[in-house]
Amino acid sequence: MTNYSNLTIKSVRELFTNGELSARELVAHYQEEIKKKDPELNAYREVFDDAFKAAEEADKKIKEGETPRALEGIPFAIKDNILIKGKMAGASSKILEGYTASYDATVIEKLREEGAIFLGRTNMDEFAMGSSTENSAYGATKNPYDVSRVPGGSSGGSAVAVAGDMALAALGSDTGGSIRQPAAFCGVVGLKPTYGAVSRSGLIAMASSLDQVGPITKSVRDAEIIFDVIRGRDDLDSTSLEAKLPSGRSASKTIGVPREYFSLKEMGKEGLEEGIAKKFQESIEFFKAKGFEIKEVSLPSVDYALAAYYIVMPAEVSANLSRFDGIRYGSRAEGKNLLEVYAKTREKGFGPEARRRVILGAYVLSAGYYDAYYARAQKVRYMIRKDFENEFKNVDLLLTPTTPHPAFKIGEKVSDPLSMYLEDIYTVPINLAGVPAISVPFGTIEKEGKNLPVGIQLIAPWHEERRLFEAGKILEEK
Amino acid sequence: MISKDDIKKLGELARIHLTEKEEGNLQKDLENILGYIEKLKEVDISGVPEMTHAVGEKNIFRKDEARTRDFVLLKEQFPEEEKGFLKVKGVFERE
Repeated sequence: MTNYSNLTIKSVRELFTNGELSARELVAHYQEEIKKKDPELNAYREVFDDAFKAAEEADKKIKEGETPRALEGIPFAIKDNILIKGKMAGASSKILEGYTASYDATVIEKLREEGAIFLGRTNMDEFAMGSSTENSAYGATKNPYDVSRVPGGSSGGSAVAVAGDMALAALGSDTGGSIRQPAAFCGVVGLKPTYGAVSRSGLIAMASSLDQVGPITKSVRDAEIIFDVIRGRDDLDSTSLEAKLPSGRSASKTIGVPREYFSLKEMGKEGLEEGIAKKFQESIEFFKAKGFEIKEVSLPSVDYALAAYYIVMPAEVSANLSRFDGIRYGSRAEGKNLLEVYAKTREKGFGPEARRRVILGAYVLSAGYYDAYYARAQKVRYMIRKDFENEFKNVDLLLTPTTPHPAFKIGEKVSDPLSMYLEDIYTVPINLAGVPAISVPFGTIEKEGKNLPVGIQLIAPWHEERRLFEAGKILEEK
Repeated sequence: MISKDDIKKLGELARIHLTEKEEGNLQKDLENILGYIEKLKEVDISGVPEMTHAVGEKNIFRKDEARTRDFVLLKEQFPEEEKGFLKVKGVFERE
């Protein structure tokens, strides 16, 4: 009898080759779980009907004795902003209703080449704008640990699919924390790779200088396997880079704890919650006991990261979302002239948060304001990157909580955009600097009789994902 | 700091039709967000360059060759079509 909820890519591979499990059985199991749980959790926007066919092909290959590829027969859930040829993709927005992708995203092509199976596409905050998945035009996703709470966002559907045993692994995208924060809220692993490590071709763009695709998984090893499949330079994304080999250092020895993360307080209401602070302290002690040297470090400019982010990101959003105008694809509203078609299509198609950010972006970029907002933010961004550069001369890794508190209640923050933005305070600096980070589950804390997962974030220098995996595996032993 | 007329103008620039009620809400939200962003004014940025790329700053070239996508699928996405062409409203209006 297979214990499905504990499966990893490695164990599935063994079960496949020993003939104890087939890809067909595995797909059937997930589809059964989806049928049972998803009417309440709402992780999936669509379950694909051709997963069985792909599973049968995988089974045939394995039976004929072919060496299984890295992800042979592994069922994936894919965030609704990553294109799969011939499938609908909508970024959970009404404006893309009816849109079918005409090509595979590069990450999808790479997963396919290694034998992965696609179970379906997952719910998200519209155009990845949000930290709770409540901004989806198709209803909120719920946290499997407590259905009155959010799963985090924007990759909430992908995190819930993995946490709720409705997929073995998932892809998400992370612009300011959208992989790591939902992974932390749902007790799973989430990796945001180095900017440029993974191709963005076929990812519906939100803020192009910050967006990265990454895996959400049950174990650090699984995240590593998937990262190795999807990374690499791609002609279709000029910002993608050939990953350099890891530096000579064999294993990390020193871990820095940025003191600013203890004192980050915003508008007097956001600070590190006591329960999380305790778990974080525990993770520090744990690494100490494992022989790591812990150093206090300082990233003085991170206090300004969120403010800089809320200029750079909406500026890029307003440019990226201009392509959704009802002309070439998606839904189109009627109007008496071209201008009215644009304005009405975008009024009906975009939800409140998308509209808010487009307007904010147009404002910070408008004539006369460029120097006051955008140029200033990009300078602060430079300073933040320098902070990371400086401290990575002293330590191999940085350690922080992924979020200041565990999953919050559905509806708690949705009417106050600024308090929702403050959710990402621990994850945003990493995107601004372009460095890689991973959120690893580290136990739970009790709230109102429910056990809520806690995530610990490890941060490495550019292209040093290996260090994240090494230390992450040690952390998950606990 | 930001007036309702500013919001109206931004809606026009961004090609989004806004209702009166929404203009009011956006005015309030933007005031809030811009108020928070104000804290960047504390930072001494003298002599700091603008960060223009996340990693590496060099030109990337590739051969200028046409790539084929699935044209049938592409065409199926057109909201309106005539004789295989994408149909849109005229850019210039006749009086």
